Amino acid sequence: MKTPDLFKQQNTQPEYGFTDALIGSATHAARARDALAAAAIRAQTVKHSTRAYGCIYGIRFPAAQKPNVTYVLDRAGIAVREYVESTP
Amino acid sequence: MSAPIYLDHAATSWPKPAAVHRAVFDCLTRAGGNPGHGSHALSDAAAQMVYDCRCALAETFGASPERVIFTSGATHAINLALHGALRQGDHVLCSDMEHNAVYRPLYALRERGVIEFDTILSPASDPRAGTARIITDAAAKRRPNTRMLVCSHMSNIVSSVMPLSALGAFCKRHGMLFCVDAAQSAGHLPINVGEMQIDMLCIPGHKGLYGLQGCGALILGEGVELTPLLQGGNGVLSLSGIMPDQPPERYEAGTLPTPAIAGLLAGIREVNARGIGTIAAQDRHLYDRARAMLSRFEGMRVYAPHCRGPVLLCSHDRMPADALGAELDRRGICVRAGFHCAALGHGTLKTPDTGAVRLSFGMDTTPSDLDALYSALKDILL
Repeated sequence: MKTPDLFKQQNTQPEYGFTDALIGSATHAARARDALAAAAIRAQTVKHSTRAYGCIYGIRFPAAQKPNVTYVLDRAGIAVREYVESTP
Repeated sequence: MSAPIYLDHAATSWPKPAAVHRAVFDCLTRAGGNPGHGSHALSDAAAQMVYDCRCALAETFGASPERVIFTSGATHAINLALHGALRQGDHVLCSDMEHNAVYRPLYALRERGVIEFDTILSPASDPRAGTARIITDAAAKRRPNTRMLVCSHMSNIVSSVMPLSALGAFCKRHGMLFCVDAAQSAGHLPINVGEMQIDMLCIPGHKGLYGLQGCGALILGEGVELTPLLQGGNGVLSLSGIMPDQPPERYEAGTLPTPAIAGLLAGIREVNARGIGTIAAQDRHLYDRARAMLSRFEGMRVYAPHCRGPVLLCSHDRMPADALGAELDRRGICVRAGFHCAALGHGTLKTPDTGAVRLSFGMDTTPSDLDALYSALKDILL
């Protein structure tokens, strides 16, 4: 079994300096995480609860990696519904 | 009491590998949350395990993880495929050896006036039915509105195998969907969704892949979209009144059977460690041994003996199938007697009115198991 701690949820305040890409299900979020890992970008899955989407899964990564993340996910055919910046 | 000799793997495999027992126990103790629904460690661990199983199935069957849809078993997967894809006025081709899991949904759709269907040759019905004859028969029965070809990869009563690559190419050539019931072949024969151009692959978890009953999968080829069979919650886009637009969650409503999926993941790993090619070769070896053994009994008939693999069907001209099965059971040998939920297949093979006896092998079946069967049959029949 892969390391369970790669599945982390957003239960409290957002972590500053990170960006969350909201994707859809836990499956698609895990697939995105693995695609990024293959490109040496560390990310973890997160869950958001919003009026816009209800419950939705995504990935959290360092904000500075956003251009690289966008490129990798686009190449992998993984659609991002929204990027949520968590800056102060 | 000694352990039974189990020759009913086509119904469900037994015993399960020790790794499967451990995986189910670990799941219940360490990953007991609801996968993809919660916000805590037990839910996260369950979600990861479910994803790992999707990846293992995708790798084993040549597909993408997000196109692995968990179902309650192969029958549920077949129903999702047929009811989700077929439309009013469609025509369907199926083989003459289909299990009721395929036959009954087709029959019901025909009774409701939605579809029509015809059967095509299989290697079981005609020993000369090689790939070319099967494709020729399918071409002759194809109509302008033929939308799908659905077939069991391997029959559940004899080891008759349909030529998937050729049928996949035939379907693509004519713009038809190709749906495969792999209830008996998954774990026994190599299957690759991409290479064989399969649009919908239906698999059970609890037979040749050694998982638990209650879990199977529908694996979708690229670009295939279905109408969901079930609607309900699945932890995603939960304020919307409609199902998500992407697989797998588009087709998964309600809570997944996480312990069964954990067992299936461990089972797949066991099967892949053994090697599907190795298992297939062992199946043929056991078949040859069993067939030779049965031929020593006067009045014993083996059906479609040219089809060698993990399933063997026989009958005796002086002993009804149920009686023979019961006598074997009294001697600690588990076989399946009767009609095996295979109305089409028994009609095709013209088995007796009292049915037939099926022997089916698993990856741990040994020649000595067959020797014990031989001794029991001598005791019963001679």
